[in-house]
Amino acid sequence: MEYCEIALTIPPEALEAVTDLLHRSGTGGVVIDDERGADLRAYLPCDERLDIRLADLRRRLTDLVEFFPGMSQMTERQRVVAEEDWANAWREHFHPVRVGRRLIVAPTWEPVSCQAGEVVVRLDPGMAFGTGTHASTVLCLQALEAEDLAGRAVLDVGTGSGILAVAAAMLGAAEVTAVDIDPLAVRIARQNAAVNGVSERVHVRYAELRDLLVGGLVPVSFAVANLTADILCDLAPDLGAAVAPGGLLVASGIVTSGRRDAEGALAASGLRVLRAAALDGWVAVWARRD
Amino acid sequence: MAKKVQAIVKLQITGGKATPAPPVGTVLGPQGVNIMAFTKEFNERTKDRAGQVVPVEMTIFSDRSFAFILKTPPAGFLLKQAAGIESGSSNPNTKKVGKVTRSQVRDIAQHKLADLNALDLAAAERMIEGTARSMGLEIVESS
Repeated sequence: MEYCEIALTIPPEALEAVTDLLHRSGTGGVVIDDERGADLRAYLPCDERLDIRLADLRRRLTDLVEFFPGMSQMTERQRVVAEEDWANAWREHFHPVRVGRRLIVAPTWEPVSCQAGEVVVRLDPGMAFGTGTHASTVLCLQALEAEDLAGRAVLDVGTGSGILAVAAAMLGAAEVTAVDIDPLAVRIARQNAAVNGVSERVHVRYAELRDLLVGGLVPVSFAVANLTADILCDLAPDLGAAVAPGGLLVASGIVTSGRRDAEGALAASGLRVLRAAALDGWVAVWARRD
Repeated sequence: MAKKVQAIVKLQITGGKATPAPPVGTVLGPQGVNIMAFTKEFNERTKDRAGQVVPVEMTIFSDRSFAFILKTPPAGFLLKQAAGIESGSSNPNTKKVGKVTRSQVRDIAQHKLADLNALDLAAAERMIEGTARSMGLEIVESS
């Protein structure tokens, strides 16, 4: 997919009017640099409507001269940007990271050295969530590492890149069931399981958690759900049912302000909240089914 | 030790609905920021402003981690709210779509002052007034 980048230099007093106009033109957002004057960047998809949209935008920008005389000095530049230019740019900056005492998360394309007892999870997250650098993922990885998973069945709800499911298998889990409702995430998680040689033990399913309950694939003795506070509240009854008596759930991806609601929903679903850990404004909650 | 700041990025995007498409991807990708991590956090923190334009100021650190603060709604949004209209005029020179009072303009200028690069309240008021007129709103002394 290609986009037309429109770069405008405008008088600062017209900033609010021009950004409003850009939003109304269907740009989906504006980048603002107002350190010295006001430089704006906005993007329109390069499709059959581009010419009409650009012409309309120019007419409206010209109209603004009546309200902001300085707009007569506005400069405009355009260039075409391609998705590949930015979609993979972050890869250059994804390097091996050590999480907890013995886990190392490393990109598939970079060599990594490790010592005896350390566990390396290889990852190419693509556009799915989970590189091991986000606080909510770190809290879950630390939880997995702290638990003795050897021989156990583990559930990963909202697997994203598959990082937690793969890490659980690498840490000794006998069987890992991972679900996601995003087909792209399911594909990427399967690839990451394969790269790490744990495909036989990591079963990634394009499904809702409820489908697993119906299919008899749960309960498990250890479940991890790195979602958001809202989704955790919605899924709480199913999460409660997915954890076997005596089993543990680690619910993560909770912004600090959502903690009370999430804990309340888990408690109402037959889980006993044991403790919580916080990192960079994110909270993970440990809950047991008695 | 405080982390080294690599860049400050200011964006206006739709609350609750950020995607890796431009401008998010084009501005964050080259900075090495994990785009999906940003959209997840932004959408979670702006779900009560879903569908509205939300100005956000991001600080990107040298280790590619980031933090962001959400700013007051754009003047255009506040003006539409004050005038009780859905959208601005497509021909503001000729077609007026509503009215705002001078005291509403002053309130919005006051509200936005910290987030605008205007030097003082008078300059902020002129900016809001111009924005209002450019949307096809008339400024009246009182309602």
